[in-house]
Amino acid sequence: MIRDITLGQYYPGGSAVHRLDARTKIIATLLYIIELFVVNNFYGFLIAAAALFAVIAVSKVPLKFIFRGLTAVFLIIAFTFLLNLFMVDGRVLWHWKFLTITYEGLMRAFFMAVRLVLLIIGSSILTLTTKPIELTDGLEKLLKPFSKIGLPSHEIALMMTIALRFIPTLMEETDKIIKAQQARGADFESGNIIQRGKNLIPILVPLFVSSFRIAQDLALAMEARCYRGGSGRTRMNEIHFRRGDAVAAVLMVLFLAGIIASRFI
Amino acid sequence: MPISVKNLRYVYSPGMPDETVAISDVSFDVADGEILGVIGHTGSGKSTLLQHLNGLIKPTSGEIYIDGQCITDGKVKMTDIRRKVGLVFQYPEYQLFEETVRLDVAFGPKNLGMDEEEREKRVRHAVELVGLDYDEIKDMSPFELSGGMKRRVAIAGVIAMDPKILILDEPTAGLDPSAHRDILAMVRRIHDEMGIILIFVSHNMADIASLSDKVIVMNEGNIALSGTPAEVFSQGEKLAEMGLGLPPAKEIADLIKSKAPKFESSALTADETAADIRRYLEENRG
Amino acid sequence: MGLCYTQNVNFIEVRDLKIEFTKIDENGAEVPGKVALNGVSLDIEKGSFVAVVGMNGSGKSTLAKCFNGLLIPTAGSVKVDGFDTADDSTIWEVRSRVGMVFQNPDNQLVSSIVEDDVAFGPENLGVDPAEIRRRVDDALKRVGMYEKKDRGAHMLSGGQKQRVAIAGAIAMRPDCIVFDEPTAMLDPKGREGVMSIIKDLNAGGITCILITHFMNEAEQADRVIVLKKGKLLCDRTPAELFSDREMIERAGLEMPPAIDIRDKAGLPESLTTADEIAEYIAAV
Repeated sequence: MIRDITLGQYYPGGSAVHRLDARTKIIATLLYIIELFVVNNFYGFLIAAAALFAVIAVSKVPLKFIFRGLTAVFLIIAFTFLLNLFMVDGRVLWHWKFLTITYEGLMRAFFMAVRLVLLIIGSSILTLTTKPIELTDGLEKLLKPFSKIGLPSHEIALMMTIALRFIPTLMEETDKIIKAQQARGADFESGNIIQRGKNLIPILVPLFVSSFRIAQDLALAMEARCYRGGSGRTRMNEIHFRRGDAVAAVLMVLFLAGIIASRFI
Repeated sequence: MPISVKNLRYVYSPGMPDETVAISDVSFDVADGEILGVIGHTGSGKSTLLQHLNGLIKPTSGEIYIDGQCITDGKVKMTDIRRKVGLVFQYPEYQLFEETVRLDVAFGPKNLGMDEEEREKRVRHAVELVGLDYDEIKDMSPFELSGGMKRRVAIAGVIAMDPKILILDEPTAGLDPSAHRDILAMVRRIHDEMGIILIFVSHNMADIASLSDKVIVMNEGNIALSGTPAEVFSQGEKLAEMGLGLPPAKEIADLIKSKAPKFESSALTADETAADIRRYLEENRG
Repeated sequence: MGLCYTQNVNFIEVRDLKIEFTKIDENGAEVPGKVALNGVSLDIEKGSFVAVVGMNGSGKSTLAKCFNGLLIPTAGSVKVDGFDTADDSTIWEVRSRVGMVFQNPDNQLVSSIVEDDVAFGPENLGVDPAEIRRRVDDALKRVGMYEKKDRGAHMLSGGQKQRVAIAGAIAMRPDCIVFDEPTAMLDPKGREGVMSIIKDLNAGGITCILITHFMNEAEQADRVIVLKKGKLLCDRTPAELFSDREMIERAGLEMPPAIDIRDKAGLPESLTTADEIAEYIAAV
């Protein structure tokens, strides 16, 4: 369900994790994701999972809230698991007709699933504990050095702000249009792929028209509120590195060392 | 084709932290040919309720019978329900998508599997019923029309499916006073000509009072009040508690009553209040 | 007698305003399109509360967009506090003086979180961070949304979103706010909330211009401007306007309920409110 997607949502709070500079959290999340792919054995995942749950505990975001985001992507995880389970050659554990499960396949499937789950939880922790505006401000500042080579860092950040803001609105709009066309007898569930594609036109055209209307309205509203690009703008909450960020950096280095060490166990 | 709703209940995201009871326990009946007015605030559950009536939402528990047939037991074909119950959403003009008015209005009938000839007849009739000149606009793009005309075309798209029950969710939202009057007159004409059950949602108490045979007031997922407009609007205090008002003509009649205790009036519309004032003045001027 | 100062200072002066939209013809060339406003002249006094009414397509939303230079006159002029809206070099002077609230509550909030959205305007103006914080808190308190400052915008009701949009305009500390059908998409409770905020703001000295379809809202203004097909039909006090049934019909409007009943019951024209009607009947 549309309401169940937690990725990109913010969970208000004042924990140590919430108070970290958005830049720290973005970099930490990126490092964490990279590390998940460095890990190659059980101990590594144990460290990675322990670290993640320690962060969740400190952030005080309810586990129930975090795991709901997983239900939306459950299919992807299950699919990855099965794909790995049956596709890897090695020591045969079980065989039936054309299906074969190997020891290596089982391990790979398990690791891949755990990796995905940790990755999704890890990145949702970033968005759950960081206000969208801080996230985009952080991104803007991180990208700032690249603006010298022509990267529009402010515009990219603003685009992200607006995207985060309008995802729920467009989801609702889509829901409304689908229902309105269903009420006119439209059928989105039967027929072959070409037929189904054609059936989407009654949704896509109104959605396209709506998006344009929203974009037009928003552009006017932004102009009316004196938006004129990034130069000369100030921020209500300037983001700053604090002592907490230094502590987080030290912890991150320790974690990194642990992960690398785990490869040699 | 009478409607009977029995102990309807609907819960959003059951078992989740944001579990919400949209409709807690709702029962009501609508008889053939009746006009039912529905009032209530955003979030009172009225939109959710209406979407149940043509099968867009399946209830958590409870039953809905249309013409004696249960539509909530999962056995009935969706196209059969949609054929019987037409639902026009708020701002229906936002669902237009075809290249021409003719094709757009024909979308519903086509989905119901009507043949070409039958379709053309229905489409023409529906467009004329909403008060537009079919020959003039049939080949125009719906996006070229004015706001009020777009809305009529969208309503025609549902009428062309020839429903026996028509549900309109705030058909006059966002219109100027004269377009508002036109749409209201159109709604009445559609009801009278097609001889159908009409259910409409409105925030405009004067419209509810002048159009409906029966009114239900939704509040926090329940029917808080129901009855004839006179019965419902005699409960001014209860309505005020829910943040809902009275038809202005009734409000004025009540105000007069509070200052001139001998003034008697059960008026709901401007014409009725004015007539009561005239009568009172004639009697009391001696 | 010495010098005679007039008390009323014009904040906005509109002279012979014409707005003509262009459209693209089949060959891709720009050609004149619809004339949305034609020869409109009017003044908005500082601190006043002016309603603008008229049918769909009368040009009232177009006029609203001229008040802060979102639309530039094809001919004629619009001056705000002495600044010409057609002058590119002072357009931000104009826009920081005239805030705007639009019809659709969903499409005008930029940020996902309430207080961040309210801060968007002052941030654009380059206001000092501590001052932005003060303005945002103050603006949210004025619209009764301070308690919800950390909320996600998509969790609010239409009426609440609209109040946040108003706070966004207030935080820019404008002299004037233009409300373009702010209540059209709200339910009665939301409508009432927005109207009482508008009246509060006006009482606090902000010039308010309200574009509306609802006569009971127009009735509360000091002055009502009626547009029809891009032309100014009349510019009067609500009492004067609503005593002229012919004008109301010509403009495609409707009478407020009390006056409608008064006329239908044949009561004297001197009665203009429900209270006066009730008093009159009680006195018979």
